[in-house]
Amino acid sequence: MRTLAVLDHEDNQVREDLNFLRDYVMQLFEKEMIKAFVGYRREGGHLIPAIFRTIGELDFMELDHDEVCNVERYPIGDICRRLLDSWPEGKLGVMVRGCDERALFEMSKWNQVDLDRLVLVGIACSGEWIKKCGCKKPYPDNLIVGKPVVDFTYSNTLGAYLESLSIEERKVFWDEAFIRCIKCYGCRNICPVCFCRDCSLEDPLLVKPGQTPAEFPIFHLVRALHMAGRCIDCGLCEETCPAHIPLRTLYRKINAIMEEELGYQTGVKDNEVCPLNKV
Amino acid sequence: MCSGSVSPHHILRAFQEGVDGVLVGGCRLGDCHYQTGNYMTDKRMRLLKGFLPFYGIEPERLRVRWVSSAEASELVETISDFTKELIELGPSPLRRSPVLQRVSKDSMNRYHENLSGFGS
Ligand code: SF4
Ligand code: SF4
Repeated sequence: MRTLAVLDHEDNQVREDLNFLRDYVMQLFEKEMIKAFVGYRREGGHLIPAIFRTIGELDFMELDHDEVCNVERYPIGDICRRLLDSWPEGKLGVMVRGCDERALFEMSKWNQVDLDRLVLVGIACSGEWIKKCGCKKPYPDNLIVGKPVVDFTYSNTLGAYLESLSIEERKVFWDEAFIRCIKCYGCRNICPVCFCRDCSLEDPLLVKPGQTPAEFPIFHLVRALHMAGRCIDCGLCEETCPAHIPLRTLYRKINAIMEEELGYQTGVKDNEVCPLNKV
Repeated sequence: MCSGSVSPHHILRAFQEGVDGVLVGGCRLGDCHYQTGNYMTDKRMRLLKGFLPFYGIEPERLRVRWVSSAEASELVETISDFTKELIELGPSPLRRSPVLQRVSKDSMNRYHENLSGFGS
């Protein structure tokens, strides 16, 4: 549970960062660089994404407090995509963690968001949270708030362990994981880079409808294949999965192959596009 | 039909049905009637082949060969070689291992114990 001390902003660093962020966004409004800003506000004790349209509204803006390691994250990339789609003019400012930024970079390569219509205001993840989350780059390129933690070691422990098993043992591991799936589609719904209108997971020719556990392994393998050249390793799916299926490990593997075989790395701002999308 | 129209999803569906192997045949690289279809096939199949064993399906069960319907004898040879190798490999692991029917309390505990070591 979040402590009251945090709610009251007794933590100096958080208060400092928040003031800095408010000033920064205020300037974006004043210089007319953005029409609105996507940040966070608190609702019923939870931090939720919110859209701020005026400088006055920024008073309600809040920041998460990483040190308690109870970070509340959302698919910001997906939210931005929907906002930009339904709001065809003007620029949107948005607060991004490293993962949110990677999602937006990747989505722009898949022609799903127009980066020219976004002003990214990056925030670094804290050391404590990094240990728990374990992504490769816990700070955005467009870093504005906080100091990036760079001295950490990335490890894909479960992935490495699975690679050390025999192929038969691996199948048992995954079957035991997959059989727990309640087919809530949470993994797909929370994913910031899942944007298809017709989802393969709901295609009765691919995955048998109307049964739990979701038909396996196909349900999970189809989703994994779809994440090739897309998944930016934010870990939201795994965090969401009520069945505790180590989904991230699965998608890390497909993207490791993507990198080794086809030389493509997701979530980076460069001129490459996913090799599956070009000749 | 162009091999470029074979989605990895179709192949996964075949494995799900319990087939012992899947052979994808395409025209030789550079000979594609649609110019680039088989280059796409090549990329998709390399991904899938790398991924299958991470779940538990031997990569040898997926074969991609550039041999078109116009090359009858090569096609026949490819098919009979593949069939021979599949017989040696035995039935698909999706048919071989008994599928767990339900999550028992024991298997649930074991699952959590196993995972807890990885901070997942
Ligand atoms: S980690 Fe999960 S939620 Fe995040 S991009 Fe990858 S598949 Fe989507
Ligand atoms: S979130 Fe977990 S339980 Fe829900 S559909 Fe995805 S894998 Fe299955």
